[in-house]
Amino acid sequence: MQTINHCIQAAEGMHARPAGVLAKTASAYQSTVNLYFQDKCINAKRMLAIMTLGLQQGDAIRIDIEGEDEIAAAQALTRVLI
Amino acid sequence: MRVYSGKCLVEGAAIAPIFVYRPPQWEDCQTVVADTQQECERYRSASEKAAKALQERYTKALQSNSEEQAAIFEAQQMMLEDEDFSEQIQTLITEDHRSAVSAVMETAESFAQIFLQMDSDIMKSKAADMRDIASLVIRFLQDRQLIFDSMPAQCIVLAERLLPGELAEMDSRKVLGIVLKESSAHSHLAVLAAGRKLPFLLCPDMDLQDYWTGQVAGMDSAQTKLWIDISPETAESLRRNYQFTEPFASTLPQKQDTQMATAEGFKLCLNIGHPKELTSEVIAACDGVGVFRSEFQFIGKSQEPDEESLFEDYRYAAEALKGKTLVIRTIDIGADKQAAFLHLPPEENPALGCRGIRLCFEKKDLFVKQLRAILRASAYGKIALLLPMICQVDELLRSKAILEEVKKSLRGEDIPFDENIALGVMIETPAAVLIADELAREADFFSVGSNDLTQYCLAVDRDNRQMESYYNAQHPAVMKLLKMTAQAATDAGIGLCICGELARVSSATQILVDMGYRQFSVSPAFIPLMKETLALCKR
Repeated sequence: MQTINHCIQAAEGMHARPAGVLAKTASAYQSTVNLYFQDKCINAKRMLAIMTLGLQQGDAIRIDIEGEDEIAAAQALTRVLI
Repeated sequence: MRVYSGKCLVEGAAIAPIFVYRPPQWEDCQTVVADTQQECERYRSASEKAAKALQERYTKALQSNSEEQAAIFEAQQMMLEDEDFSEQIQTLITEDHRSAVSAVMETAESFAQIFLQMDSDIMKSKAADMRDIASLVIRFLQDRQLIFDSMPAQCIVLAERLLPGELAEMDSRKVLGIVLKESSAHSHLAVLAAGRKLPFLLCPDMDLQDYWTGQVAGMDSAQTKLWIDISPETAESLRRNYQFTEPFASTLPQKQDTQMATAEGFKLCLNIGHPKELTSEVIAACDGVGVFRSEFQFIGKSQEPDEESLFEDYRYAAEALKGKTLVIRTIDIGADKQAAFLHLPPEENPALGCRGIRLCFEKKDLFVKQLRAILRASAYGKIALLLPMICQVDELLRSKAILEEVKKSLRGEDIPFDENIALGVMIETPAAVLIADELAREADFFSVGSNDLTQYCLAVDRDNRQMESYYNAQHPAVMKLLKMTAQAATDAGIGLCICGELARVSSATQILVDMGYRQFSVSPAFIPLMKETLALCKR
């Protein structure tokens, strides 16, 4: 399993477009991609689910990636996180 | 003239007829779906069409170099195709047997509520995206043209709120400005409007009225003002400030083309209250008189008019119309209209009291006198009779018997009249609608009075200003009654006309046409607007 710890940098927070890009990227891989924020866990392949977290600048999230292509997925996800 | 102050969201000014936009909302969402498989299929197909439409909007925005707009549509398409969204909708359909329309609405609304509760304005604005997506999918589910298609050639759009997708659907050549009660500078709508250089004003205090449609408004974001029914002086100074060129000037009423022919398959008639309203220009522009309210001869008079003066007025109107039909509604005194000479006792609930046909039976001499005058005038033009406030078949039969008596006495006196004079019934009570099939067997045509029908259906006094927010002529219950009436008339093959305020509300016209209405009767001032609206309606 790969884990990414990330702090939201963008001033506008994780709104529609970045959430969409993140979900699209995660969906390109077979691995399961779970996003943890506070006490919530959502499927990061789902754009609306990411949006419902209402992530703001400074929020700390964790992403767990598990599956055959987890390394490639983790690398790709790191590039699209804002 | 009424003036409202507001906040400028996109700079600019405009003068044009008003188009009051209310989203269609009469679809029955309570239906229990039996074939859930098919309903899911219907949803998926509508969703695919909606995705395609968003894709097209995205491409169009890119082509016109507005990347910001393109990004809105791209994100909307992703939300639409989100699996949580579509799964939740299909679960509601398969497990709760909900209609696709209601499942889409509820799901989109549940996400919208989550976004609205967030602190960030950007996230809050995603609620509008969800509703926008829902309305697009629903549009394809109902396969109905957006009512924007019935907008006049040039107008200022007034609405409670507007979805970005709705603005995208509007013909940009038609819309000269937008005034909304709710919106914000951060909204997508403001972005879209700015992209189109469309003057955009926010007026939270505006008490939006459907009857404003067709009146001329002026808006100026520099003064942050909206003028309803703008005075010529204010319009002139606005034009001078902005040096308006032709498109604005040509939308002023005096230049409207009143002589344009009514669209094929439709009839556009007049509501008049006095024969003097029948100027030669007005007569040329209409297809007849849908309702001639005959009360003017009685209200405010200290003495009862004699048969001759009634006859002269009817004959004048019938002759002036040169063969076009004149529908005369027999006296509808009572409720808000009183005649002093009748010395009627005051009633606690006049709207539910002795009015319309009830008064005609009560004062039979007066009724007979009016019928005689109308029949005599029928020898000079094409006249039809219309009975108000019918609630029972018996009332219609009784009226017919009285009419026969009058005909018989005229025959005896060798006075000419139209033996085949058509007899219609006003449909203005829920009771009349519920027995419309029986009434249709005895009547030659129906004329729907949507104002009273709304009042009696919703138990709302239409003259009570405090009740204004409860008075909704497009309430689903009223729309159902209108549909039932149209169905009964169509089944029986009799004439059908709608003559209340609703007849001239452009946003309702397509819905009424879909129900089967082809004949609309409006005040002379609305004839040009209605001609344009009907020309754009799909039969």
